[in-house]
Amino acid sequence: MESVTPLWHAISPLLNSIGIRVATDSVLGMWITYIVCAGILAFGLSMLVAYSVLLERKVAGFIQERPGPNRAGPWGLLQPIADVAKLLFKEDIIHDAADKPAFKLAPFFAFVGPVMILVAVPFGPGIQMSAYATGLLMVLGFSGLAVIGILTGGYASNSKFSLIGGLRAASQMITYEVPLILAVLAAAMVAGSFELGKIVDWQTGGLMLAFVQPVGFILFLICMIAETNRTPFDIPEGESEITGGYHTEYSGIRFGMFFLGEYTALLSFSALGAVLFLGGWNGPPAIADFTAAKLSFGIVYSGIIWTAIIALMIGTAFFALRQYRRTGEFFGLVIICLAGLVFIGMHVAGSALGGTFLLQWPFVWLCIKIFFLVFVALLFRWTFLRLRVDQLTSFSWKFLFPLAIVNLFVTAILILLFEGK
Amino acid sequence: MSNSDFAVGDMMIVNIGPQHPSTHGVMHFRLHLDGEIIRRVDPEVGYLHRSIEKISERRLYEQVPVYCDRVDYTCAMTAVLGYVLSVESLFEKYELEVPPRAWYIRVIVTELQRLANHLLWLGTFALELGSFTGYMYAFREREKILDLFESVAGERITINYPCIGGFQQDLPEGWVELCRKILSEYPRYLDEIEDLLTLNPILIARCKGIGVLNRQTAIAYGITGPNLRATGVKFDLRREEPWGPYPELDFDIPTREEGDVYARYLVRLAETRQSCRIVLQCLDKLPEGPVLAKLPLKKRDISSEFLKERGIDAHIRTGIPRRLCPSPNETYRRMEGPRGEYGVFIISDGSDKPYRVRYRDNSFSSMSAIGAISKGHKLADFIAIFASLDIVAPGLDR
Repeated sequence: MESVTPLWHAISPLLNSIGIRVATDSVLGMWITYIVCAGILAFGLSMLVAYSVLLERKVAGFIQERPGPNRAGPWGLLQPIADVAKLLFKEDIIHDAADKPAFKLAPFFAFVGPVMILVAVPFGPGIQMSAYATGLLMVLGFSGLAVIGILTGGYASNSKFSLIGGLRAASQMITYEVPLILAVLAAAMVAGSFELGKIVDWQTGGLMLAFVQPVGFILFLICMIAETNRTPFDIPEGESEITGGYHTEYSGIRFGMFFLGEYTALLSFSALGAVLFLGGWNGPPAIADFTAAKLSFGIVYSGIIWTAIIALMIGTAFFALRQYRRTGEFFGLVIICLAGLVFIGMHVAGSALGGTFLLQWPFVWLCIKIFFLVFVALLFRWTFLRLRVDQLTSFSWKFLFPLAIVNLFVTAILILLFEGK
Repeated sequence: MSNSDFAVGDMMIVNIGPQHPSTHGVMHFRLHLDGEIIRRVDPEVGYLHRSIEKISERRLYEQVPVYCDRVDYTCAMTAVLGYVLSVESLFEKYELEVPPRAWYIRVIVTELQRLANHLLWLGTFALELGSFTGYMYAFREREKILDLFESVAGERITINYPCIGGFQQDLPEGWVELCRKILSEYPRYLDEIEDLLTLNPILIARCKGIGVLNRQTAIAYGITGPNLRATGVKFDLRREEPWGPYPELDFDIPTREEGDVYARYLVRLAETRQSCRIVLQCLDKLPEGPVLAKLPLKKRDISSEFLKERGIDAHIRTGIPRRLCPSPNETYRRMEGPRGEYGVFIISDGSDKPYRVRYRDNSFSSMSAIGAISKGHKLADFIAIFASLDIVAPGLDR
């Protein structure tokens, strides 16, 4: 409730100014704000998830030099709606040998877990569904919930392929949760809080945690992709081996829950990564933000970030141009140009308006960062091959886990050294 | 549920196929799994039997090629050509003289088919290992070669271009230039695919040391083609029993010593580069002239008793169409198909139909060896091994 209070405090004068008399401390008003916010989040999230499927297919087309979906609407922009409608109307087949209650329940676990991560993510200063002091622990707990859904689905399907898929998923997600938690823990130690909003606050006006915790960031990226069961680590559903893994026997919207749950997990883990390591809703640093004492540091730091952004955009534009030359599809080019215009426009408007207006628009910056992490995961997916199940677990236990432990200890020692002064 | 269908002792039985995403056709393996480790593989064939051999006995020599393209639908061009070469070898040299231009075109289409087949293999192999992008890249290149086939034969997959004595139609106008353009660009595109796959650490981890086929096993199972050459045996029928202009052409036979999945992958990719070289040489040397030989057609040998019984006058016999009737003989002619030795055995009895036809495809040999080389590997490795052997279902059963 507390997290909605500032929002209500901001909205109630607005309502008063247009003639609607409300009290600033109205409990009913806060509740309505709360429900409306939840509704916006749920609707926005489901649209975002549906469109991230389209994004995936468009990025696949971009990498593979083909147009990608382009039949439903211009550039296939209505494709997600068609897909979701299809999933909703398809027959929901539950075969006789299935363990029915578990079979019916499993997809919801797989879907709810990732959604709950977003509850603790701050979308802007003070805009957060719930600001628990232990928000990070709650998030990690909910991220583990999906395993239960997948394992239950694999068991309840009563099929060998599903069973193998479910077991693989369980071993994989448990294996990768350990280095994930250790990497996140190191970041939380640096920021000195388990509260996601405080972790973003720590990064405001300073370094992103990705620069303070480079090893932690890379560990997080790898584990994020493993946790969301995406290609190099999509062993639980490895199509060529076990046909569909845990969701082989599912159809209709129950399959859709698994399918969309995977994309929700991708989005919410990206949001978590953006909040923890990429500065959350903070915009990229402008030199004007730094005081005279820190000016040289500010020039170097913002120089690095802006160079990275520009290099990424030029690189993507190069490949988009190649896609256009080879296939005649110019959607990629349009997106790149739009992104460039938005960046330049925001920067120009930001400096014209004193670095406070557009450049500080928190939600947009968080979305851009989430999109960046999703894009990285998509690049991974369409570039790499699938690992084998034993290679996967040994990679985690023999490489990522020791690395995460060392990272944690080094971080702790450095904190002690510098805090002690 | 009988016990043997589900499990044997502690081992679980998993059916890979007949319907499974990675069998690409109807193949069936019964895997005995101990956890994820394979203890036994029972391959089962017979799902795609269309009795092409029996059908061939009931058709005229000229009609059989229409069925041959289904013997191996992923490389129809060589499947038809194998039969054609075999029929031609039933005749004496002077009876049936195939013009030189036809020989060159035969080499061109054979090597293009090898390229197309290896690209199809590469695509499915990449897909089996989880790289959808590799699949798309390989198919993009294969499409260009299928376009070339479409312009010479009107078909893309089940092609009926070669016929006894050469070709019914010459190459269309401008085809040579188009082919040269596509093939001279090919190495660059192959480099792109290799950038994606060859040195990819995940591909190496998945392929090196997996499914090792040693030389003795390969020879014992009668495996030929790239699978044999990946074990270090430099055996290629284009060198051992060359036909047409092969002896005049300059090309290498890539081999590897390891015999594992990765070696088979490298050998196939190297072979596509050699095929490309061969086609480019043939396009340069392509002579002018006719493409179809004069066929030694004969009146069918119908006995005078047969006619007398039916009261047919002798002069009506002139109206009976003349057919290709090789003298009684038997022949086995083999050629280097894209996936190994492709041979056709024919017994002729002097009539206008073959007495017996038998097709030999390397898929069956490779399928026989799969149990021996995948024991002790994981389920995921089995898919990689199976994909690397380049088995197609129609070649197993005919």
